[in-house]
Amino acid sequence: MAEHTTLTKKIEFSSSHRYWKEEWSKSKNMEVFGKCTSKYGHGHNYVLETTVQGPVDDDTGMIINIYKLKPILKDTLKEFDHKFLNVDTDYFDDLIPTTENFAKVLYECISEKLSNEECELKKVRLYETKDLFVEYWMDEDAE
Amino acid sequence: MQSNCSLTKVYSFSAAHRLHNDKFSDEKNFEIFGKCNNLNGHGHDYSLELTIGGEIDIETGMIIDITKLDELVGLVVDELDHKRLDIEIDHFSEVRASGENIAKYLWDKIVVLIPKPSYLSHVRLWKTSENFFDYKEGK
Repeated sequence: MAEHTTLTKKIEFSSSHRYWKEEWSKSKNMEVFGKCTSKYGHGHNYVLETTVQGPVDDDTGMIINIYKLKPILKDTLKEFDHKFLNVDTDYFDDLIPTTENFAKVLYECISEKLSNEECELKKVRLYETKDLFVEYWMDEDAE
Repeated sequence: MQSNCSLTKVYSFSAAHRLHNDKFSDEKNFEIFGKCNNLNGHGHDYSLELTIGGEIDIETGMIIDITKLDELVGLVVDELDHKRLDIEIDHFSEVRASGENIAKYLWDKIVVLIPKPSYLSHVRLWKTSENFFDYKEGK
C-alpha cells in the first residue's frame, strides 16, 4: 500500500464578483443568475483550503515548510484579494466568476506556482460562504 | 490527467426520533439503542452536506443551478424539519431513523429530483457536531 500524506493550508480573502453574460438578454441573465447579476457586483469572504501532497522529508518531518507555502499562497491570492474579479483581473473576461470557475482558476494558478517546489497541488476547496464550497482536483488516471 | 469539480451545499433541519424495534424486548431495545430508546423521543439539529460532482457548464460556469437545487432539496428537507421522524414520516415507521438510514433516505429522495441524477456524488449527514454519516452510490 502506498502512503499518502497531505497538508492543507486555509487562507481567507475577500473579493467581489458579478455573474453576467453579454451575449444574453437582461431577462435571460436574470433568469439564470438572479441577484448575482447586480451591476456593481457583490462580495464574499472566501476561504481557500489548499491541499498539497508529496513525500515527508526525513530531516524536517514536513511535506513542505508552511513558512514557505504560506507566502506562495498569499502571493497568488494578492491578485484576487480585495478586488472586483470581473474588472480587476484578466481571468474572467470570458469566464463567469462562479465558485466553480474561481476554484479552477485558483487551482491552475497555485499549481503553476508550486511547479518547482517539493510538493504538488492535490486539491483546492473554495468556500464562498460557510454553507457552500467547491472542490477542484486532478485525477492521475483518466478513465 | 482528468480534472474534477464538485460543489457542496449545506442544509439544516431539526427533528426528533426514537430508536426502537418492536421485534426486541424492552431490555434488548435499551441494550442496543441506549438513551436513544427514550420513550418520548429526543431531537437533533441535523446538517446535510450535499455534494454534486460533474462538468462545469460552459455557458453558465456552474455545475448545477444552486437556486434550483435549493428549491428541490428544500422540498425533501422541509418534510423532515420539526417532525418526529419515526411517527410522522411513513418511511421511518418500519425503518429505524438512525443517522445511517436518514442519510440513505435523503439520497434516495434527492437523486430522483435533481436534473442530472448521476451528478449526485455524496451525502454527509451530521447528527451532532461530533457524529456524521456518509452515503453514496456508484463509483
